[in-house]
Amino acid sequence: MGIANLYVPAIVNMGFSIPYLLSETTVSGAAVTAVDFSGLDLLPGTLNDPDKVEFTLNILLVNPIAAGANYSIFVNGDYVAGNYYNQELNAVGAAAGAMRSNNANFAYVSASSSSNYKAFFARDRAGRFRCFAEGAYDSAGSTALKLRYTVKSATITKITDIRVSCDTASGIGIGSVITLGVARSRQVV
Amino acid sequence: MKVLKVNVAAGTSEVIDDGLPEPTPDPNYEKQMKDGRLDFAKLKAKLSALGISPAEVE
Repeated sequence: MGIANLYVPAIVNMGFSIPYLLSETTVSGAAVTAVDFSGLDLLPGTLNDPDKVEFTLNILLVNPIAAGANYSIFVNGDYVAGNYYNQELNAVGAAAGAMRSNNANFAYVSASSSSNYKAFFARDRAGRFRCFAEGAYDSAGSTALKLRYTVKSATITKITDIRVSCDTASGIGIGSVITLGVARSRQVV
Repeated sequence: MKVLKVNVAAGTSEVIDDGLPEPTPDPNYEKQMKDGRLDFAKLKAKLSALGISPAEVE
């Protein structure tokens, strides 16, 4: 399992306002079912302030499974899908659809293919974990758009760890890259 | 479940089995996703066939 993991604390105290890289993780050697990012509450300075930080995920998901796969985002060790909801919009050519599901899904990749997703997540001022994700997937050889907004029903006090998990065993294939960063410091909301 | 654990603060990572069962995909998801779609090109064609100009409902 070759992994590039990058954490650069040197500019933490600069009052960052631009995207800031925390970790870049590549899956190699063998597929996994989930990738966890922990220690987010242990980052220095404003990086771990739950009222000021919005995180980013830039993801290349490689689905090695011969079926479409959904990917979920879980927070703080709560892996019970029923504790989350997501609202999604799909656009495929001239067709569009919407759906709400009682789970933590935030991304989707077609069978034996790969997709890029960009997501933002944060604890909102009411204390709820919220994640917005956008990406594209293959639909019968054409590009399809997916937008999803995922929320955890119960409130949280801070974000300690994040799990990106596939709904199929070993669904995060070799070559998948997950980049975690900080979008901005929310000094004024 | 096979998990790649990354400790961001410590800058470490490892692959573990967290003891949780491997997940089971929802067999109805793709059908639900397709059932919920509305094809606007087909809708416009149907409206035109009924003598309704799509511009009237835009």
